Formats: sequence, structure tokens, C-alpha cells
Amino acid sequence: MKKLISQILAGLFFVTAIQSHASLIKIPAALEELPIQENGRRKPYLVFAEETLRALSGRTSLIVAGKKTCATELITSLWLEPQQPWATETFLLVSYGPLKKILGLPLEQKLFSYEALRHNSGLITLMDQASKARRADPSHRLEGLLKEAADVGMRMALFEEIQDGSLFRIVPSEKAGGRWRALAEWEQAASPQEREGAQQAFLLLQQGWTQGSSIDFIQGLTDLKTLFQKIDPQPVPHWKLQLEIFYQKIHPFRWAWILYALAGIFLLFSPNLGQKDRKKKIDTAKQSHPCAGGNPANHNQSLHRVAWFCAGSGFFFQVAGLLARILITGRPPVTNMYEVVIWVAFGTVFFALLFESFLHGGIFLLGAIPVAVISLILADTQPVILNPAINPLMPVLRDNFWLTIHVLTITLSYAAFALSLGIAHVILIRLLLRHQPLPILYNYLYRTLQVGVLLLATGTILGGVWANYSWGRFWDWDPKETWALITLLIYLFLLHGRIAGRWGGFGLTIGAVLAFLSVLMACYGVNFVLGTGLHSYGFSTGGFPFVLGFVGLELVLVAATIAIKKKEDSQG
Amino acid sequence: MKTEITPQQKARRALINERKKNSLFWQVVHLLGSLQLALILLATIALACAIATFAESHFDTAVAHAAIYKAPWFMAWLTVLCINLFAVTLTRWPWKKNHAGFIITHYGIITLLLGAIIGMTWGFEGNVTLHRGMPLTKITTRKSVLQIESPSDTFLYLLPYDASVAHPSTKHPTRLSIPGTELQLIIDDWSKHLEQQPFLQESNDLKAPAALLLRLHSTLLHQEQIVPLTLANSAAATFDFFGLATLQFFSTLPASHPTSHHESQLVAMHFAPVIVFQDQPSEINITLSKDGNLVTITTPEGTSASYPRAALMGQKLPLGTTTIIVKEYWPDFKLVDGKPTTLSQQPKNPALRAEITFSSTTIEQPAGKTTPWLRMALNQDFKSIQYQLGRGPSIQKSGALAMNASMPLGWADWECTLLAAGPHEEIGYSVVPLQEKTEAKSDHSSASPGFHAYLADQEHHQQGPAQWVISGAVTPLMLEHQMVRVAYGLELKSVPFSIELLNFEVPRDEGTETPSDFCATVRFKNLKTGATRDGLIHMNHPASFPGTFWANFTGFNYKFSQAEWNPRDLEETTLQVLYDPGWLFKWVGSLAICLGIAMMFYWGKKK
Repeated sequence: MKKLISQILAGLFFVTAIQSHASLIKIPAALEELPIQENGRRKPYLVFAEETLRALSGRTSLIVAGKKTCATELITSLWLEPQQPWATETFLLVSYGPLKKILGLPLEQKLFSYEALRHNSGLITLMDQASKARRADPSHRLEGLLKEAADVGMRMALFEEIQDGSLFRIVPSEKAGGRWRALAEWEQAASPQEREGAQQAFLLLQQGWTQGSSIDFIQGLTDLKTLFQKIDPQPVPHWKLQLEIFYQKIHPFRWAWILYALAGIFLLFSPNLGQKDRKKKIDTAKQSHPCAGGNPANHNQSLHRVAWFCAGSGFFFQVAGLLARILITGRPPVTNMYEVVIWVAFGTVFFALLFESFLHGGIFLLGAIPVAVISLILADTQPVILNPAINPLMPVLRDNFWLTIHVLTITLSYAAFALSLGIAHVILIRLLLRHQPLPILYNYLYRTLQVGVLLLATGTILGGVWANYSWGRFWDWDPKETWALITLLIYLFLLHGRIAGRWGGFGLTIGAVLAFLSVLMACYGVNFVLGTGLHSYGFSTGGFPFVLGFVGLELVLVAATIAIKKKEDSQG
Repeated sequence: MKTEITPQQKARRALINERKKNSLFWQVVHLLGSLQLALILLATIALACAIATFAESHFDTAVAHAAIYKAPWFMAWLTVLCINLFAVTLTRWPWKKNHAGFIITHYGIITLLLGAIIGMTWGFEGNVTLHRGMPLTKITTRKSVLQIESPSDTFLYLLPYDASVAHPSTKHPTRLSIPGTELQLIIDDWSKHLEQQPFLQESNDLKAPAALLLRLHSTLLHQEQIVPLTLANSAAATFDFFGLATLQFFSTLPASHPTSHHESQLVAMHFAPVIVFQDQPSEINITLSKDGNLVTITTPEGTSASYPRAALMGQKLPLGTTTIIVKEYWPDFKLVDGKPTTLSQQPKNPALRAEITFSSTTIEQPAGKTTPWLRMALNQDFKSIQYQLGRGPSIQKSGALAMNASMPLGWADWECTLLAAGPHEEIGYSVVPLQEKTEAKSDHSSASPGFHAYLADQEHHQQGPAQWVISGAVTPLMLEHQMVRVAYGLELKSVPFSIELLNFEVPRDEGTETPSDFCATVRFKNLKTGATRDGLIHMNHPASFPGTFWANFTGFNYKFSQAEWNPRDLEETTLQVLYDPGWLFKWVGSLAICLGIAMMFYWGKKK
């Protein structure tokens, strides 16, 4: 928890701190928007640098020689000054405790130098075993030590590619969709004039960088770009480069969670939304008309207005960020864990605002905000678990029609259930604080559950229809399919039990919390715990302690409220 | 949630109570359609599915399917669910407008489940592996079957049997009576990985060809391959090593003559070496230490040695038939105006230029081919072979290999061992389970499942010799003079058309080897009419036969979706085949469920 808080503080710091430059010159925009081909797509140099450094070290800036250095500077230094002793600098992430223990590496240290790892015989043995296991069965997923060792091996290989310059594939291909080449590689096949031109431009670039001459640096870069233009005049549209750089620099989802968090704080401290007042408000509302809970804006409370303003701006940032990502990737933003977490946060706030505009309950936003803030903070601070990099999709997912209607629907149902979880929490916390239960709140909870059930049923069935086309069968009890069905059955059980009178509002609340654990299983656990099945592209590892901790907290909360409720019932 | 009860609702309740009291039929309907039963069904089905997913990850998919998803009790439970769904709609009789969503949803689920049952009963799922230019008319289903030919009437008896689900053992063997006889087939073991191992058998026939038995082995890849080669014909004398190399058996080795080659290498600490060669590369790998003082030379055979750089400067270093000489050295290498220079005398970026001369023996070979090969001929003593190891037109190594001796092939860490040889031999095959069950997961593409069985006559207390029955082959089992022929494997299903792979393409993500799609062009040919139709199958876009609108709409068609590919052979693709007459019910049911839920929640509620 302490770690998480420090990471959050660090995250805040990144937003406000002026970044100090280790390099002698300021990174020119011309370098940031230099297109480069890596990992099956073209991206601006800035994004390439951040993704590369994140892949190496799990972060986008490092302390080098006592100075905080951002990814672009560091990666550029590695590229243009290969003679520096980079191999002894601590760049490579080894985060898995048991692995460090076995390799005899200091447990508190996170980053290690290439040299230190290269000579670690334990690591070499493990990497050897991992590659043997992978060769023996390419479809087998590595686990535990071997997987972590293989990951470290990938980082080392990436470092080697940076060191020998082969990663910097900046020379466009003559063929559309062809392989780009690194400068040295291209020079071998180029004409003598071209080669000489490229060598001189590169030398200028190096000189400018090492000697702190911006003019030389930009001149070298311009010369190179002129050279590349002869091969392909515009390999990437300019607006797309600009948009991606803007998206990368602005951190829209970070602003979103900060604003949501502020909205949450204002809502909590807003006298208008204090527990007692709202209770009264809702009670009176119930007497007059169940659907007109009194518009909060009418209460003229400035704090309340500020809260709404913050939530609205946060939502704006989130929508803008999602739109930017859609434009950059050209596909709906639900193709990996990182995107799903952000999308679910978006959906939760979206449904809350939608309900608020119809029902004016006040509780929807209060329920949605913690869910959205926690999800977005995780996405912002845990890049190793939730990787924000944009990578090509596996072939079966390259169908925007199905991706949109199946995955978006399913994940929106998760969002509705997350909102019901948030509302259930508000109710439970009120109960813990010994407030009387409110029938209208249970009604609201029921309505969010309805949205979730409709979307989950639709999404699951649409998944079957898609599978009928892509895999050639409607339903085959794949673990992911099965868990979507189990989740649906559990929520149906919850709603039917309410109709049957088996449980009332309180039971529904407890049920909404417990049933959400099955959403967690369907969305995350299937990939992590079961680890088999066809939906292997959604598989990610890591973050298990977070999820386990969450499940534990939920169970404690449920047990505590049930105990209190029982005590109250026996007394009253 | 509770609203005021209107007089109509009151009357309705009274009616329902009345009919429950007076009619047994309605009593049963209300019992079967009760919410309590629905709750029990929802909870148990959810629990069973959850257990099944864990069973699948602990055991395997077949077990989860056999024990739960496809088990009779689960089917029965789903039938109860259908009855419950149907009965609950009856309890709402007489229906009113506001029941529409409720009824549509519940009937939608019944329709969907009906579609699933129709699909399971009359449809089938399978796959087909197509090779370019080889039309097929049979599809491999997912059902394991056992075929037994009874000795009494020579009829073929077919029964579904899956050894990986039945798990037969000596303690719990599977006993199957053979129709029309007193015999029993007793299955007492099973394996997922059986393999046919070749062996050489001395032949009495003097016309039988000479043969070799080789063992190819890689420690690194955990792979082993036993290869028999005979001089019977050119196909039997050649073995294609995964498309990467060729093994050939000759009566006498082809003649050869040596030539010499020249190569220049620019080796540096910080970038990949620049190698210039004529005809063919030497495949010698030179590396330079960080301080520029030590040169490490690795030969193509994998032996490596280090030398002080100073000792190699301008001095010829002979290595077998190869000579290496270091011509130039730059401590701080930099290309200035396209010319190599040194920026300083500090070894910041050491680099060197080495010249390599080597000789190799060239033999006649079709131009352009540079795949490695191994050629062998039997010596007169029949206990050793002469071999030539080379690549493209040149011989890189030659010598003799004695019986049971091994030699490195120079292809990764593959080694070759001579197991047996003879002048007149026959090749026999014996079925054996693979030793290292865990490691052999996918390295033996030829491995097949199977079981261990023997014949027994309970009355006479007789027992025949036990044998492994490998899937995909007919195995004769003996008891005294009686023979029962047994075949095991996935059931093949004939279809009324043929399918042929015309073209297969794998586009890649730009600049990588990662596939971005798989595109197979196939040709369907109606076996009755002879009419052909071409289809394109790619990811998310299946092709189907007959492929008309109504066939697609109702599911009375064979649908082919991309399933697997073989990175080693792009002339091959595996397609998933589905024939699903329940499809119409499935999608109509699906539509009804979604529509019904939406109606129930959001239609006609507002007053």
C-alpha cells in the first residue's frame, strides 16, 4: 500500500515537475516526430523512446548520473553515443522477488546493469531453460521464475539491439508495408552518394548531440529526413504523428483521475451531500415522486457545483483521451488489459452521469468515482502489469465490427456492474455508519444491475455469433465463455432471488458486491488463474496481489455489514 | 419496488389461486415453473460450470467436457431448465401485453438450447488439413471411435471410445465384448504420444535393398528422429529434414573437386560485422574483445578459440583448410567520408578487418540451392558409412562414421548416430509410447494417441499377446489362431463435395514475421454435379458449401474457418469445419433473449 501511495505521489509529481535535461540540447520537435518502425507499426520517435524505455525499465524516465532523464533523451544518448559505458548503467528491470533471491541480486534494488545480468550464471541457466521450454512447445505459457527470467532476457536482447543500433529503424521502405532499416543497414545497400550523405548527416547529428549544438543536430536531422523523403515522401500522415505525440505528452487519463478524485473529495465534503441531508432529501423525494430527487444544482451549493465541474472535466479528458487512442490505433479501445481498465472506468462514469441526468440520485456519481479513480490510478502507475503501449493485434481480433459490438458490449456490462458495486459500497458504508437503509437506493442499485445484465447477456451472445464466424463454432465451453455465462447466471440468480422475495434490498446490496467477484474472475481471473483457452490474447500476468487484496477487503466489508445488520435486527 | 395492487391484479391472483386449488395440471405447472426451482437451477448450473473450468485447467479439456459439459446429467439438468422456462410462461396465462418481454426472453432461451441440441445431434464439428493441390472429401471429426472387425462375420463394428477420457489401466481396464465371438478386447493402458519406431530386419530376399538406420538428435531442442533410408528407390533414399536440410543415401558418393574461396570481415565491438564474400560464406564468426586485444574465432562446426590480436596482425592463422589473417585494426573506429579511420588511440570502439581464405569441394548441384545436406554411402564391411556434409554446391566436411558412433551435423546442435546398416534389409515398425511424456509434447509431430490392448477368452482363460494400438492405423490382435483387426482414431466423415487448397498466403505485420492474417483460396467441387465454386477463407471470414443465402441463413451448410497453420510449410493450412442445422434456432433464440430482456426492463414500465 505504501508503495502504491508513493507511486501515486510520483505520478502527481510527473505532471507538475519541470523536467530537467541531462542532455546538452533541448529535444527538438523534429526528432520527436521522426517516424520509426518498431514492433510492426510506425510511430513517432517520442513514443518509440517512451515505449522502449518502459520495456527496458518499467518507467518513462530514469535518474542517470544524478539527473532525472526522460525517455527521449536517454534513448537518444544510447543511440548517438554508443561508446559510453551504458552496459554498466542500471537500466534493466528485475522486479520479481523470488527471481532476485535465486540470482543473488539485492532484493531492494529494482534496476540492474546489463553487465551485472550478463555475467549472472543463474540467470543464464534460467533463460536457457526458458528458451528450451518454449522451443519444445511454442504454445506453452511459461510461468513463475522461467517467465520472469525470459522477460529479463527480452529486456537484455532489447538493450543489445539499442546498443548495436539495429533497433533504430528509421529508413522507410520502398515497398508499402515493407521492413524499415536502421541507418547502417540501409547504407550497405545504398549508392555511394546516398551513403556519404547519410554518414555525414549522422555525424552531424552525433556532433550536435555530444557537443550541445542544436543547429548541427537539427541540420543533421533535416538532411536525414530529406534523404528519406526520396524513398517515401510521407510514410505517416503528419496529423497522426502530431496527435500521437500530443496524446503521449498530455496524459489525459492521469488528468481524468486527478479531476475525478477532486470531484469525489468535494462531493464527500459538500454539506449539501452530507449523509443526513441527502437522506432527508431522498426521503422527501420518495414521498412526492420517486423519480424527482431534487436537482443537486438547485441547492446552490458552490462546493457541489465544483464537484460536478471536476467530474465533468475529468470525463472530458477521458473521452478526449479515448478518442485520440481510437484515431491513433484505428480500432475500439478494448484490445488489452490497460485499455479495458480505462474503458470500464469510462463506462462507469458514463452510466453514472446518464442515471444522474434521469434520476438525480446523487449516489451514482459517488458510487462511480472510487471505481473510476482506482482503475485509472492502476492504469497510470502499473505499466508493467497494464501495458499502455500500442501494438498490432493478433489476426482474429482484426475486425472492428465484431470488436466493437462484442467486446465493447461485454466491457460496458462490466462497467455497469462496477457502478452497481460502487453504489453497493455507498449503501454498505452508510449501514456501517449506522444510517437507516433507504429503499430508493436499493431501487437505483436494481436499475444499474438491470443495465449490466442486459449488456452482459447481449455481449456474451454476440461473442457466440462472432465465434461462429471466426473459430467456426457458436459455443464450446471455452473458459472465458463459460465464465461470462457463470457471471450472467449469478446476476440472474441475484435478480430472481429478489423477485422471489428470498432477499430484500440489503441482500441485493451484499449480492451486488459478491457477484462482482465473478466479473473479476471472468475479466481477469480466467486469464491469470486458469490460463487455458482460446481467449489467450487477453492473457496478462501480474497484479495478482492487488486483486487478491481487493477480494479480501470486499469479503471483510461484507462480513462486517452482515454482522452489524444482524445485531441491529436482533436489537430492533 | 412494490407498487399498489390494482383491482385487475387482484382478480388475476384470485384466478391463479383458484386454478391451483382445483386442477392438478395447474398445480404441476406452477410447481415446475416455480421461482424456487429456477433459483436452484441457476445456482447449480453456475457451480457446475465453475467446477468444470477448474477441472479443465487442472486436467484437460476432454475431461471437463466428458465429466460436465457433455455429461448426461448436465444435459438432463438443462432439460429441466427448459421445462422450468416453459412452465413459468404458462403460469402467467392468460398473457397480457406486459408479459411480452418476459415470454420472448424465456422462449428465446428454450429456442437457443433447442438449437444446441439439434446442432449436437445432427450437425458435426471437425477439421481438415489441406495441402495445396490435393483435394479432400473427408473431414476429421472430433469424435474418437474404435472400429473392430469381428472374426465371425467380418463385419465392422463402430463404437465411440476415447482412451484419454476412459483412462484405462491394469487396475481398471476397459473390457469390450467382440460381437459374434466369446472374445473380449481388454484395454489396460493408454498414451497420448505413441510413435511408430522403424527398425531394420535382415531380409532373406537377396533382392532386398541396402538400408541404414540413423538417429538424429538435438539436446537443445529435446528432439529425436529415427530415420530409415534404403536404396529401394530415390524417395526411400532421401529424407527431408523439416524442409531445412536433406539426407541422401547413395550406393557410392558423387565425385567432388576442391575450390578455394575468399572472404573479408569487418568486425567491431559496437555493431554487427560487415561480411563480404564470393560464392559462399565461410560461416566463421570473429569477435573482438572490449579492449580490442583479444580475437575469438568460432568455426562453423562450433569450436571456438581466442588469440591475442597482436599475434594475428599480418600473420596467417591456419585452421584446418581455412586461413585467417588480420589485415587492419582501428582502436576508435569511425567512418569518415566513407573511409575507416580511428578517432583516437584509446580502444573506445575497436574494430578490425580480417581476410579469410578457405577451400571447399564443389559438386554438381542445381544452381541457387544452398540448403545443407548429408550424403552417405555404405562401406564394404556394412558396419560403417562414408559421408559428405555440405551446403549448396560445396562440401564442408567428409569422412567415415562407424556403427553406433555420433557426429555433429553443424545444423544447430543436431547430431547423427548410425544405429544399423546392412546390404539386404527390410524396414519394420514397432509402436512404442514416448519415454519423456512431458518433454515430448509437440516435438514429435508424428506422435499419435493410442492404447495398449490384448484379446482374452474368459471361458478358456486364454490371453493373447498385448500390443499398442496407435490411432490412424489398423492393428491386428491375435489369440491362438483367431485374429481381430482393430482401428482407433478420430472418426472421418465423408462430405458430398471435395475441397482443394488453391492458394495460401500469410501477410505479415510490417517489418516483422508476425502474421497479420491467413488467406486461403479454396475450390469446392460438388461430387454429384461436378460444379465448382471458389471461396476465400481468411480470419473472421469463413467460406461455406453450398454457400447460398438460405444455406447460410439456416445453417444447412458446411462452414470452413481458418484454424491453424504450419509456419514450416506454407502450402498447408488447417480449417475448422462446422455443419450446424441448429444455427437458425441459435440465432433466433439469441435475438429473442436480447430483445426480450430489453423489453422486460425498459418497455411499458413507465405509466
